[in-house]
Amino acid sequence: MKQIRICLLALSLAVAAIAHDGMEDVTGTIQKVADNVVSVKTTKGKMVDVKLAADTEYTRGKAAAKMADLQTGDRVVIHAMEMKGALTAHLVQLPVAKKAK
Amino acid sequence: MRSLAWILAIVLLCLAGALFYVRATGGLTAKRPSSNMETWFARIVRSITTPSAAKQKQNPVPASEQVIAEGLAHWADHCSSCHANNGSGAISMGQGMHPRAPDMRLPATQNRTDGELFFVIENGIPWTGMPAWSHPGKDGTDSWKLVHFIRHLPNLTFEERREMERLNPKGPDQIEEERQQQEFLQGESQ
Repeated sequence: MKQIRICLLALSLAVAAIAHDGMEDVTGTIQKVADNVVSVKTTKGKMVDVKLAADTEYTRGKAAAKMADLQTGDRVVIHAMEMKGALTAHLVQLPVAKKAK
Repeated sequence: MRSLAWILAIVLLCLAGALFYVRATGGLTAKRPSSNMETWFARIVRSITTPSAAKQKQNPVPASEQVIAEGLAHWADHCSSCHANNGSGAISMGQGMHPRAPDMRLPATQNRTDGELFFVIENGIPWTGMPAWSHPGKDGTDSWKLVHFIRHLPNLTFEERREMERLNPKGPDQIEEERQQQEFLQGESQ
């Protein structure tokens, strides 16, 4: 009986969460940046929230940029990783030059 | 003899339980990440089975900027599709594997000897997505250069990562998608 309990315990320890992971590109216009999350209205009209992580990289053309450069109304292309239903940005691309408003 | 039969019965019972568990939770799938126990067990087995001579091999290729650059180009072309440019494994292919491609910037990889890393590149890892890259007629120089680059992974610069993106193999669909994204960024499309 003890052996069975040990086997069942070992089996239960092997249980792991089932997750769907994958890369996704988010292309659209920034609607809001708050609490390390950027909300983007995609070119297809859908609202998507993407988490900005500590190791997220930002580029403006070939130059480096930073999170503070994200402004509401900016166009953006975000290469993100989907993990457990949430998107986390790996690379955020901003336009080379801002359009005159 | 009787206790042996009991042990065998328990093992078979556990095996049957495991099979029913797998079936009840969606069947055999690579979507499920490895459990800590699986990872621990696999690393122990790999460590035990790697020949001591292989572990102790020294990198015969002296480190230099040129060697790192060659390793970078090789990695971007051959390895990044599963390991990601920065070695994190955070890329569709790597995250779709069972086990997942590891974050090679972390001590679990970086603490291995040069010989161990070379052994893995040359021989692959059975029951994972890691293939063996050694081929007859190749002396392993490229793999030793990759070992230098793997050591460099935790210190990749912004410019190096951009250079790798340029070197990553791309199909026509991806090239077209990137072109459309750049057009959108510059306000040339909606």
